[in-house]
Amino acid sequence: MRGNQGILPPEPMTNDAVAERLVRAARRSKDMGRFQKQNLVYLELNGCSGNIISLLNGRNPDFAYMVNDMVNLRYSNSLMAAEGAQATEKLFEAMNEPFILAVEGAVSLRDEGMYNVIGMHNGSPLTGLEAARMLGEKADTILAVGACATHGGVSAARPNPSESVGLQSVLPDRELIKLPGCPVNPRWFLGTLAHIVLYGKPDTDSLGRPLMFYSTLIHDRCPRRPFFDRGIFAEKLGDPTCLFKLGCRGPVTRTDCPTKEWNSGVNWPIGANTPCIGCAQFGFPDAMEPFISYDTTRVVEDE
Amino acid sequence: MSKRIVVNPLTRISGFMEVDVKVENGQVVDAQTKGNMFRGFEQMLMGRSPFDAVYFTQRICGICSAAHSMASSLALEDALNIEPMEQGRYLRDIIHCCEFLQNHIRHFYQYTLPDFVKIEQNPLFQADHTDFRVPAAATAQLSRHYFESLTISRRCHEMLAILGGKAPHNHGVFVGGVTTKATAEVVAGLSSILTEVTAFIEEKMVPDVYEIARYYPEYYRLGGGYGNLMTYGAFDRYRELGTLYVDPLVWTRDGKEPFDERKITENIDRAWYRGAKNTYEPDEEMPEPDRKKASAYSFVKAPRYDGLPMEVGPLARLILSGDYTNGVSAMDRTIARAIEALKIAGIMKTLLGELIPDTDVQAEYTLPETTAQGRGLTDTTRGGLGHWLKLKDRKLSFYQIITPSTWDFSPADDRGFRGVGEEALMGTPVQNPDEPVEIGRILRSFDPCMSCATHVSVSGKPVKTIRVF
Amino acid sequence: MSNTELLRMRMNQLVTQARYDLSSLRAVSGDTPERRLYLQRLWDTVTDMHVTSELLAVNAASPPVQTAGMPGQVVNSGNSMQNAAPGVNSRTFTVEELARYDGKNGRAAYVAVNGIVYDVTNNRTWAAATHFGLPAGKDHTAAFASCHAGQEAILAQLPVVGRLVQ
Ligand code: SF4
Repeated sequence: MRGNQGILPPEPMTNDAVAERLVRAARRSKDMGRFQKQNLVYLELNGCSGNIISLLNGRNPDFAYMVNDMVNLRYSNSLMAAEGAQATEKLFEAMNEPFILAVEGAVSLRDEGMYNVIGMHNGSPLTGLEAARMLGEKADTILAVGACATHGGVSAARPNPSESVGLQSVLPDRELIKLPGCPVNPRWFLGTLAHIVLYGKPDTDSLGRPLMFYSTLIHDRCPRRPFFDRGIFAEKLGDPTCLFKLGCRGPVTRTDCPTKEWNSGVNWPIGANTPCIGCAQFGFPDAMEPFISYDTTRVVEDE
Repeated sequence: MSKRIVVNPLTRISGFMEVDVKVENGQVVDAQTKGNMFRGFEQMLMGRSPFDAVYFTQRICGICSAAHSMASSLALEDALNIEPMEQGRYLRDIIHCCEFLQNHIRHFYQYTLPDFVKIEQNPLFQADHTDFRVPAAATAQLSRHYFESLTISRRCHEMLAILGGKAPHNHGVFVGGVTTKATAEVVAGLSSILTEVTAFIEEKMVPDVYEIARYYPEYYRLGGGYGNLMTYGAFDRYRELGTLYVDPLVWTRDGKEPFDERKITENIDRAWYRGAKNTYEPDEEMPEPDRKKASAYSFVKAPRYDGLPMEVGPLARLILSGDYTNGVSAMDRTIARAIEALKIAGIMKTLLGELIPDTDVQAEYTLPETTAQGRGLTDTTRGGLGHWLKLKDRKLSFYQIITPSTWDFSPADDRGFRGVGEEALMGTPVQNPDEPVEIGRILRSFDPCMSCATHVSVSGKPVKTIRVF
Repeated sequence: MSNTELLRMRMNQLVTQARYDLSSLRAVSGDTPERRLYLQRLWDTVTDMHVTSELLAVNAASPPVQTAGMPGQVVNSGNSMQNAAPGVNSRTFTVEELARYDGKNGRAAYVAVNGIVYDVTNNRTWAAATHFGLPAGKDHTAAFASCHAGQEAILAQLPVVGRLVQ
């Protein structure tokens, strides 16, 4: 039964439906005494810290529910009250107990990781590289959150001056759950976390992406698909038709954006009349460029 | 007796920062702020399609991404000679308003509050100092507001997404304004959320800031710094509405004067770059980095205005616009952020009232065959942000970004002026060197964003080692 | 071929696909990821059928729609158009000629793989005439071999426009 949960239509297709169902299930099993609050270490590495901001945008569950009822958030550079050496100590303390590790940002390899120092330990710098390896070996479950963590993302964009790589490259032997996206949609993170806390690891595809969020091509559920099929293409941003000629990467990107959208379901990039830039596709950004081109939409008569 | 204190990581900021201070007789006598991450955006942008800069540069920062889309759109408009429609400006500025609101609310509740208030039991809020003075009843109320604010800041991002598609990293802000239209549904939706947000700021956020100020009055005297203030202008010079907030202005010891962008330079004397000279214009190629340069201690370059370090941000804007007169200090900065949130909510309401429904502000844009250059300067949440770009063969051939946090957290320059944040720490009494809570409180009052400050460009050979000190 | 015929062809393919998935589903037991993938695809197929039938209705009500500005293009439903076998089209391209078909300014987007030139103008994975960073107007034999080894079926679905000559 649970395998089918919230993945397939004709389940309700309203916004947040998947995440909501998971949380309802979480509440139920908590009441039955099965809900075990686990420790979560949230590591920010070389990136823009946009994924943690995106998590704050979560709804059903929201961030408050996550930190109060789902997990004990033991470390988060953006949010924890402690600072300096005491903060780093909390990171090391957290390793003494079982924990889930979530990592956002890429791992910078340049000069043994010195391009991304995340704190001090015993008087010497703690690099993102060391922290990723150290915590990655010990963690029970590892989530790579956002494009930079799943494959290097924008931090590793050509010519990659900081020599950044995705988390898997420094943890080749660990199985990672990968949540690509720039940033991750809060539902993808919170829904996956709820699954881990309740039922263990969710089913993933061969690339480590949870099937419940990353199985369908945007293009196959896009409300503008009829325009594509009839060859009616937007010539500029703002047009209400198919954005294929401007560079839409919906046909190569697998997410639930068209049905669940962003920010509590109020809108999404194609809804804003702009092409999908494939931010949740491996290879973003370099393989998804150009994001916007006009010279493929127009016809120049006197060429 | 002198003692060295290093705080690393300075948590509850965006990105990674290290503070290194020297304390003598219980007072700070020297201070250095250093960014601890590096990505090299300017170099990455080389050779990319110019239009992609709008979405690409947003990835510099997760909390202020819309700011970068604003500045890069302005820079592209300048380079392509595009004059956006006034309706396009309104819509784009409304998106910018949403980001101000989201950023200020999150900065106050999630980043600042835990400095002063011991929020309810949760491992996340375990602090290591004991200087919590707010009484129990007020603490309980502020803790509740901490969690309530999460809903409100989320609502701000929902408003942003209604026009921008998603947040963070929106798609709506673009050359010409935005890509969406103001329909009745959009306007009513935004207005209804805005009412909710405004009520929260008015009834909770502003009183909460003053509540904290009551128990920590010495912060009105700490963290002042130079008192040089600057803004590139915010919500200013609309064709019909005039200036809703503040014109481009600077304030130095010589008084208030109009801002002149030609006076911006970047100094590399104490930064890890080797060049024939120390001072560069924003649209000049920067020299090669040199991590071995003995006199330097930071990758952040030191922007100066007319040779002077300048404070930017909400307090600078409010003083320059004449809305705030109490003074310059850590507490004033925090109060200014809350007051500004209310002001921005009012501006957004005004702009919403000016929208003409269903106006399409987008056009098909062409890139020039030859070369072109442009710049986009605007004030954003943390202060003045500038993007400078050049185009060649329809690709980006140069990109330079000077962020607000580079202004506030620059290293010293060759005239001996410290960075603004460093100067603000000078003379601060540190009660307990093992729990130097004062340092974090003062620096956070600037809302540092090191993801932004350390996007710096590096080209050439790899640097051998970077020691932190 | 007219649009209506193309749509009918598409519809028939979808029906075949759905039948195939139904029989596959009967074969898998228990709640496995495979089962859900089949169900997922079935759902997608039904959605496609819905869209196609809507289009058929539109076509029936009005004269065939010309695809604006795309000379020689037919409506492309995205993933499974059958095309003439290689060799039928005897047009030849030099590398320089191929380079002109970069998909810009109204030109078609062509790419060459193993000596055959294919039209990707309206192929859904070639938005803005680029595919995972590769531009149109070029010979992508090596890239195809490294990314789609064993997936020659992909090529069979692309319209052939000619051969690449040295
Ligand atoms: S807008 Fe993008 S995802 Fe939607 S139909 Fe067009 S190409 Fe496909």
